[in-house]
Amino acid sequence: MNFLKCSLPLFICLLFLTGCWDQNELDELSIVMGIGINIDKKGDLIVTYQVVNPTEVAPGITGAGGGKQPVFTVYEAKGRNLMEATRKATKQTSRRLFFAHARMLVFSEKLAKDSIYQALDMISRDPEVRSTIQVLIARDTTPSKILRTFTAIDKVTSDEVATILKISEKNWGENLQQDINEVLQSIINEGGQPLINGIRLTGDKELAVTAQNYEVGDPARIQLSGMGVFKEGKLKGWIDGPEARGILWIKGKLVSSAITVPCQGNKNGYSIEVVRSNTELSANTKSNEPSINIRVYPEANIAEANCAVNLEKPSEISTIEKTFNAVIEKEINKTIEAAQKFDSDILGFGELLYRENPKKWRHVYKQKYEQIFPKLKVNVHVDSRIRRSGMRTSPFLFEEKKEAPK
Amino acid sequence: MRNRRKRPMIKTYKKLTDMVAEKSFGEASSLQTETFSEEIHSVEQKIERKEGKLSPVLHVTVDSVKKSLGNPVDLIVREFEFELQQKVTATLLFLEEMNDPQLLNEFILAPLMSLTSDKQSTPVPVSHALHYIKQNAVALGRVLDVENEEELLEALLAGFSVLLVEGNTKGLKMGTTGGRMRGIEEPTSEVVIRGPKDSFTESMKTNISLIRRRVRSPDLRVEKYKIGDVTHTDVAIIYLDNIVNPLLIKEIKKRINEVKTDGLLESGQLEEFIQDETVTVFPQFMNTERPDVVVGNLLEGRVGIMVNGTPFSLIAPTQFIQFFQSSEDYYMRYDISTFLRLLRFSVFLISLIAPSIYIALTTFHQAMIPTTLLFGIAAQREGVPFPAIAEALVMEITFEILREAGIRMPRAVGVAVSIVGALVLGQAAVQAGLVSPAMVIVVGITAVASFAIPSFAVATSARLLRFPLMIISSVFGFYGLTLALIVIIAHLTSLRSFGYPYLSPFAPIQTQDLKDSLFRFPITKLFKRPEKLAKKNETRTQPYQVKKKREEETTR
Repeated sequence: MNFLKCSLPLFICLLFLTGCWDQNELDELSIVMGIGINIDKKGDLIVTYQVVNPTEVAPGITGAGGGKQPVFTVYEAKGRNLMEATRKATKQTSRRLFFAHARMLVFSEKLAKDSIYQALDMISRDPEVRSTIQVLIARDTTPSKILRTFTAIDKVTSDEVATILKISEKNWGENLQQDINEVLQSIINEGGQPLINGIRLTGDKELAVTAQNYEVGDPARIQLSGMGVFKEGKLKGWIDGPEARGILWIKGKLVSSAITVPCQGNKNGYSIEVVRSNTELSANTKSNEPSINIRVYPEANIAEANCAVNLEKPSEISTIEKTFNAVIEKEINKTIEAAQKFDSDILGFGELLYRENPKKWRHVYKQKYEQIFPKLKVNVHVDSRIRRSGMRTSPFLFEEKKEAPK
Repeated sequence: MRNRRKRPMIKTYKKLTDMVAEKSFGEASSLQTETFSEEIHSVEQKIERKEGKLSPVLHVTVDSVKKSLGNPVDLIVREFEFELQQKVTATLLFLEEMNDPQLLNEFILAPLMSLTSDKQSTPVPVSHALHYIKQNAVALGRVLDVENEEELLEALLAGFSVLLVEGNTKGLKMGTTGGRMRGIEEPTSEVVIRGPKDSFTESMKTNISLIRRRVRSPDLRVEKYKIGDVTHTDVAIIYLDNIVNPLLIKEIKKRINEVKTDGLLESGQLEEFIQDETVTVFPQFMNTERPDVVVGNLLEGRVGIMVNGTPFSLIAPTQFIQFFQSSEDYYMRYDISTFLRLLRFSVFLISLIAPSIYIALTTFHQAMIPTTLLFGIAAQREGVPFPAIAEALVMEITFEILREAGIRMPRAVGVAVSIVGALVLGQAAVQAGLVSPAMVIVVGITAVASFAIPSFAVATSARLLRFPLMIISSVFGFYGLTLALIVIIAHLTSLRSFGYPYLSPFAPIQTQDLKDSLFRFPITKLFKRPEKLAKKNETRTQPYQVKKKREEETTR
């Protein structure tokens, strides 16, 4: 007890003499929402930071000259590596850059073609940056342009892009959210290669970087555009459209989508709404030439039927199911073809083989996986179920036909 | 450290008396020798009086009493005569306003003055007058003999009236205690919506009667002590003999007997004398002004301690969890009681750490704030000149000032205080850019939370601990806050109330008692009294069968 009493002053000193560790008042921080990385001719990194001006973004804050300042500002710095550029940026910023809330990391296409490896380490090593930061590639534009674009609904570009990704993945399924963690994981996985979403700028590009952008009805917009296929950290090419949806089918990530299925001569007759889907992957490693089995079990509703069919007949539904299966199979096969063409295992088949038979992977497949993958036999089997047809059964076109003979 | 039940208060007392003795000695020596010798003289007289009997000569005794009391204005000396064998002179002594005049007039003076020896077959000699009067004339319940002058004085001061009869060496003290006391009113500090509305008063007699009326058990024990060399305050301990642990009673008696002080005005003072640990912010006694709370605790094997002159009685031993329980919990349905108990506990946590969390979040862990909220808080902080800790301290202290002002203020001015407080705290400070609106919300929720804790005693400990916690979290963030909370919990587990662990039934865990802790199980499921407290008589109710039977019958 006596000891405690004596040491009490020391404890109190401890409180005040240790300094304040990593204390930062909120008004001493610049909240970075987006990071863009480009590369110049010399090979230096050009790093762009999109920093929010909280007074303009926060709801219901009056005073402080609301509406006179832009909602965000962009700093740009050059450096031989990411850290150097980040610290160099303080030459322009009045506050410390704070990365914990960054939602988007954009690479330029140029950097991606060169190698993304040089930029990934710091982002994943820094304790401040979250591992949920979305990784993207600016297609036909630069990260700096993307980060300077004013958006209409969400006030901060990075926020909007991250939300677009989420919504699009859930409703359309041609893009797969790839945060820094997933990108690194797919690099580390056996034989795996990363897959990164692309974004592009559409509309009036001159207008995009001015605040007037959200004052016009048809502003320049940022739009998701395909997924970039990498090999050894270098961008090899792009997978666009339905082929990109194949990736989600294979990975079992497809939540919902709308798929067009032909019907009685009308090529775009049905629109089928996928409501949930389940994917089973298995590998056959018995021979030296392995094969992969993909089984997809989607559940779907009929969302549109633009031809005269009698949907009350179960046989009709099973016909639709069959064509629906074929469409999905085609999508998946196209994706696999594309991946094999790039010779980049973006689909995680290598990891699958490894899990199926680790020994064989290590001793047989791994060394010549580059040769195996392009010729890998993949069996795709889709077994769909169409459950509901919305508020009506047969389309009005059919009802019309039915009544005609009377 | 193992055997840590210390008695610091007793030690301090010893020191205090030494100091007093030294002081009085020093003062006396500086006075004139005459007064000094007089003092010695009076002390000698006192000793003499203690030993001697009362003088049979009336005026000698009366004069001596007058002298001892300093001839006070409220000492009434009523001389009268009555007839036995011959005319006898008697004197009735009492302190005005401490006695019920109606009782004095109708049951003592009236029958005595009309007393004649006619009815008696044999005349009563004067020397037996007192006995005769006691048996025949005084129509009162409490009539006792007074043997010497010390007893006489004590009786007078306790509110008895004393009858002296010429030629007798004894007196009679008669329980005519009366005078004005506050009536039984609704409790002011523990208001309930459903439940008894009576509360204790300043009179211990009334308080004991309130408990007696609720417990018609022969096992109810009330034991009286006198504490205070000057005030002679009555202190009573109340318990149920068939439930309570006899060792506990022994310990309580011992500690009460050890208390040496000049005066005891409130149970809070007694609490400090007999508590286990002095260096703590947590209350080690529950105090209540509700008789039903005392009875409920007696039934659990606890002991009530009452002090004359205050409506607040103490409950010992006390567990931490009791401060989050309201008597109403047992009168309402168990589901809502459980909800309210959980709410109160979280409210305690809020009032303890809400400002600290705000400080830690905004100065260290900005990454943990949801992005949109971060923008909001950052925008509010924009232009505030002080760091978050200064802002928080200023606001918290302002609130404490307002609260203190509100309590001590005459009621008429209270409105002004609240208007100024609300405006200064809420509006002006924010508009002037001195504090951020978020801080006002935090201080507001903290304040409201601290009022929602049913026990004022434990609310104050949260109030005190809040400030060190704020400072620690401004220096070390959540890391420091967590450490500080661990220290607080360790301290809580180390506390004992009369040897009973303060954190029980959680640490050490007592599964049966958990049924009535943060949760309240249905009353039919609370079979047992607290395990450690009521070893003697554990079963509270037999498992309730009647209802089951009834249900079976109806389903059939």
